[in-house]
Amino acid sequence: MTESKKKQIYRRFVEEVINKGNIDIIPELYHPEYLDHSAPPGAPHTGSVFDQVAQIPKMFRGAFPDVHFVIEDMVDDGDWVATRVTGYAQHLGRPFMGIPPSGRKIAWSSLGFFRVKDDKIIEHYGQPDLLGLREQIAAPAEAGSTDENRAIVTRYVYEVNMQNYDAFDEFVDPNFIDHNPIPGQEPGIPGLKDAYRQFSAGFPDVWFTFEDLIAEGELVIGRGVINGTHQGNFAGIPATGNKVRWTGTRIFRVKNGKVTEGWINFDMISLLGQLGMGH
Amino acid sequence: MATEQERNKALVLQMYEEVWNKGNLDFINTAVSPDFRDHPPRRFFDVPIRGREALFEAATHFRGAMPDFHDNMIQIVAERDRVIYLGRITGTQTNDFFQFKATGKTVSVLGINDFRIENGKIVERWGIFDVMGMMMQLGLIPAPAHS
Repeated sequence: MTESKKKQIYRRFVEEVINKGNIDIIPELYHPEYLDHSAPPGAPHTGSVFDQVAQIPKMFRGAFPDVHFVIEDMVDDGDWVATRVTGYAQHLGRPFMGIPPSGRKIAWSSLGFFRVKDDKIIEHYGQPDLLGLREQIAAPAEAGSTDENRAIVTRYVYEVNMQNYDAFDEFVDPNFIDHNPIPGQEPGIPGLKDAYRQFSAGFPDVWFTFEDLIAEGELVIGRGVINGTHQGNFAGIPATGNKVRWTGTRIFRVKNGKVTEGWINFDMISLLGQLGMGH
Repeated sequence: MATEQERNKALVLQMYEEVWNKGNLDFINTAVSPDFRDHPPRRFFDVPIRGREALFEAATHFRGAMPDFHDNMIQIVAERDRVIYLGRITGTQTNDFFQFKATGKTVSVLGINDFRIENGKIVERWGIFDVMGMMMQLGLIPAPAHS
């Protein structure tokens, strides 16, 4: 049985905009006179309607890079389609509702009402289980647990992204061992800070996004994507202005609440290729 | 001749009016199956999630704490065996509410409930109301310092 047009529009919103972050198709799905009765607190009221709609996937995907909604129910009646979804995500990105990136895997429910006019969403009411979501990411982790280790590594990468290297003193061991140092890197925290500073000098907007993070015993292993713009010297290559995207895998050892060792392997060949090397 | 969906909507609307707005809790026996299963969101209170007691206890606590409790329908839709109801809950907390002392404060929050109806009885509910908004409006938790 073919789904009704209203259900197809909502399904496309979930599968493309939420699950893939494809915000470019928002004007195909939303009416220019769209009215949101349930805009999240702090959501901007400036910009176009489509920019305002884009804030929702941006906010969720910023905090939860792998966010994935599963449609549990859709009811089509008159001008409206009402929906119930379960969201699945790992808190590997930015803080959410004031909670620092926790590394927690969570699931929560959300219900919504969407009015459709001229095959576009024109009005919305929504009710996510924000209390349940917040409790899951804010749940305290037992000292030395894999939950705590995952949270520490998620925070480490977030502070690196924010270029807030001074925060290292809170969660990096003074005797930190970097197994993949840059040439001439000094030992411990000072060397680590310097290595990141040199990197961000080449890519001032560099951002590492974890797409998976697994903890077992003292080890935390993550796979992710690095995005940046080459606006400074990197490995002897002067700024090209190129926007680059490459992948990396990182392993950390965490003991007594501190990161004691780190390994990184990233796709250097791809990065250098995108900077025009090797052609 | 009303369709099944029209009858299901009428059942849900009557349940809200009798149970939640008028406090006629006996109507739960008419509208709700003894095998009722609730799928609630995270909430700060513990009431049963199986059987008619689930709604009976919830309605007793809410209406006890907020005698002027009212659920104002905004929209209702039905298809197959489902009815989804969107409403705004209002009330003044003049009495104790679970572990919280009376505040005298007024709340106004959205709620959406997805009901499954079988043989003219409500058998299942997946519902969320704005628990956090309610707690903030009652001053039980601080409003977020949003960036």
